[in-house]
Amino acid sequence: MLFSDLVFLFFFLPLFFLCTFIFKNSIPAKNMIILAFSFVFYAWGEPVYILLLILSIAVNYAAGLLLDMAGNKSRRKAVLVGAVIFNLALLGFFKYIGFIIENINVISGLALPVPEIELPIGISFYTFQIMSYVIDMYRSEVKVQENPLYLGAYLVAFPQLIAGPIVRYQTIAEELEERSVSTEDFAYGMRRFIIGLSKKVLIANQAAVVADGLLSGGIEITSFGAAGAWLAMIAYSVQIYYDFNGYSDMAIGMGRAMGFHYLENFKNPYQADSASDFWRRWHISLSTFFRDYVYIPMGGNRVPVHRWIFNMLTVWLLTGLWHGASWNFILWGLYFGVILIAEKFLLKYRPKIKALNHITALFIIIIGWTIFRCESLSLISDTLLTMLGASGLIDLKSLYASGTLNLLYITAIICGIAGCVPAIRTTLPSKLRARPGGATALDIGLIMALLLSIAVLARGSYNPFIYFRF
Amino acid sequence: MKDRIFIAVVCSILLIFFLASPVIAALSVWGPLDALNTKNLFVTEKIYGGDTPASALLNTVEETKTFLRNVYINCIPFYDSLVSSVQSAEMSMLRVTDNVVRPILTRDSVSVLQNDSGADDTSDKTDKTGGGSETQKEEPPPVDYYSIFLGGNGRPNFYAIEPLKVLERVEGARDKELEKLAERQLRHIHRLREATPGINYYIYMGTRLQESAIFNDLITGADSTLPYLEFFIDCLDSDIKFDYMRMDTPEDRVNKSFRTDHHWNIFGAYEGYQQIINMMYEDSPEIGRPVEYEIIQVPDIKWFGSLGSTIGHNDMGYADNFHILDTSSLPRYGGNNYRINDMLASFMNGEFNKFGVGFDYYAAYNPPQDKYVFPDNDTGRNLLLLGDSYSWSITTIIASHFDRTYCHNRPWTIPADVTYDYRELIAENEITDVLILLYSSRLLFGYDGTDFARMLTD
Repeated sequence: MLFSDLVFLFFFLPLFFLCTFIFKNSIPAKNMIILAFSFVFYAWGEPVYILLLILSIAVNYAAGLLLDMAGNKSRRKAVLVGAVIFNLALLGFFKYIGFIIENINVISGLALPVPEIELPIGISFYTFQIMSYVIDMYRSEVKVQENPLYLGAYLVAFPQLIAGPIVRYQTIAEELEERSVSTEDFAYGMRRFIIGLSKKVLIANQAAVVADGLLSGGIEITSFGAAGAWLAMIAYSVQIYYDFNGYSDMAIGMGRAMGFHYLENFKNPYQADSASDFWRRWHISLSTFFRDYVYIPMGGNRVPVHRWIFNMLTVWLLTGLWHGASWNFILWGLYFGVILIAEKFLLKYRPKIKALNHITALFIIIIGWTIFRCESLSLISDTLLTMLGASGLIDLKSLYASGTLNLLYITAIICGIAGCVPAIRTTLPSKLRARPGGATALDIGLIMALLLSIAVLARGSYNPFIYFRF
Repeated sequence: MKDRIFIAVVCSILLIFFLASPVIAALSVWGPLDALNTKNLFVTEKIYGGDTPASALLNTVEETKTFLRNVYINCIPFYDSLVSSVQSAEMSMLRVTDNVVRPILTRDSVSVLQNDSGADDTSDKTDKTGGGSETQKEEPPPVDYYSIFLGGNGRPNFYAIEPLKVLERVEGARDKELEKLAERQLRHIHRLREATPGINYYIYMGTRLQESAIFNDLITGADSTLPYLEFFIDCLDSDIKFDYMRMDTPEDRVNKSFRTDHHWNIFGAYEGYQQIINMMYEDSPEIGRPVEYEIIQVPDIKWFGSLGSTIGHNDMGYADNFHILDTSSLPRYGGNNYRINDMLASFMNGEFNKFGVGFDYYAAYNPPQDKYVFPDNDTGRNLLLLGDSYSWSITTIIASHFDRTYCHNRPWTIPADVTYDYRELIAENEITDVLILLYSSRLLFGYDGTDFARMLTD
């Protein structure tokens, strides 16, 4: 089930909040409701893999108890290592085993059977999330959670179960035991949810039509010329940001409406003036996870230069790999690893021209998205070369045939780009809010956005003829 | 706006949908509403086999999901209004872009001989017993046809053609890929033919506009697939007979295919039937000549077919009438439960016109059947018909020329990814003739599950 699903909006969410309202004064009841509804949410897509979730909760719950009981440092370390190996083995098996065997076959010439394992939804997110609990327990940064249902509610809470943010246990540990939801919290949560839904439905989904039409449609990217290739990658850049950021907004909004204060996952990443700055603003929960649990334990930057470079490349290799079991993701991770290493040495020499630095950063980011989006090395090189003009400037006929030259989609992309400009994103709403009736106008705008999103979702659900396949 | 008021408004909106949808669903099942019949058809996607409590539980989960989708998508209040308003906005935006881009791409306007005046013309086809355009005695004024790009991602794209007032679906694959696909289809048809000696093979293609010589006169910005049809005909073995529905004029396009659906209408299909039987008669006169059937219009049916409804371009105002054959003279048959004359009576009695413009009348009137037995025939000939939804509208009347007819439609009879060796079926059932009756994308390129490579296991 997705947040942008009509069944979620009109059945699941109202029913959930009705139930939590009925039991609003009972934390155990509310946590049980979160657990139950989250299992239902997950079962909508993958009922069988609920068993995997339960297994993960059980093993890590036991690990937490053992860490709490074990006084001996070596025993604690053994428990930690065991738990981390279990979690990574689970993730490794479901996500990477096929990729590993494929590459063994390529390198060795063997013909080992490649297992076709369906990837459990959200496994990358919830595995990292539960590892943060175990590691923080080992570091004595959090207290043990003795109630397995509470731990389960933390791990599987549906707002962040399938698409993050990766919520550290310490962020919401106290709120699991004691929380309340004020009118302001609930209203904030609703507003944030609607903003996220609008970003996803009205901007990301429309930009996706352009990106997919040009990159995955029936016509090769090289047919479109440089203009088409740049349009594809700008559309994709808008799509991925508003999709992911929209989801995070919805997760944070729903969390707040439930009484949880999740941390921000994005901070206007396309305002970055360097790749390093970009990664302080993009998917913050993932980058901080790798920083706190991989980079710093490896020594961070308090090591000789060659060792630091190794640490950086390791972290970025893992970052790429986390995103997917495919060479383009690894390449993407290493691409940013190299860029960030280079920036460490070279940033101080760049001219202090804000606009130039910003454009350079955007160029680096978009090239990165090209590597991220294109699933094969040949498509990566085709797209990059086409962006550089190798296939001419523009082929209007091919662009027209691709179905992407629609004012609706172009308008959505322009709105997406405008939404990244600070003056429009924050200054304008702030000024409007400060005026008499401004806050009301903004809320009316949100309600209109909700209704428009519902209409667009209804239109997207309309597929009356399965016979059309005939 | 105060927080409480904001919460109240948002919660009210969600609660209205939460509460009203099941009420609308209940009224659709037990009351006067019809929300469930005319929209999306949700089916249970996964079925777990085995007789265990676990599989029973999982199947219950899947059925619950289907139920909730039906209630909270099909039955939400104002669903039709929401969908059509967004469709209208999409259309308006498309027209703006189209008006800017198309003139840049348009070739010289083409004047053609015949003038078409719109959807109402289909009502003039009553009593017409054969397809084909009539010869014009006077030259009408020239017509400038033009296409409006409606949407799609290249495979396929959708267009409206004015002033013909038809919708068209166009494949947009690259040249090299289409050539490879056509060559592959030919290779495997020949393999099948060689593996089954002594059987007569016939191929009939349901033509789309894209294979016709008039395609580029009517649609701008897309490529014709006529070269691939010509390639196919040139490379086909001479002992396999081939014919196809002619679409030589814009009038043919209107007369022989639906305006808003991707299928041929009964005029095109009946002409196809005549061509097929004539083709087979040359080898096997015992099957007889094509039978003359009257074409009649089903009253009070106006519908938007697959192209109109699925893409969401009902706003174009195009619509189709629905015609069928009077098959009351058809001999008795068995082998399946489809009683075509009962269906004919139901349609003519108005039992189907209640379903509204979105209902698929073509598929409802012509459900696919696996087997036909005409016990009173004594031709000594048995047919294997490898078809798709194009064949459904004339399977019964084709089968009436044979003793037994076996019908396979990929990917429904046999899933697209399964290889089914036809030699055994042909031998076991004493098949004497094989007819491949597919629409062009399937025949020429193997699209949508009709990959001839999967007709033999070696």
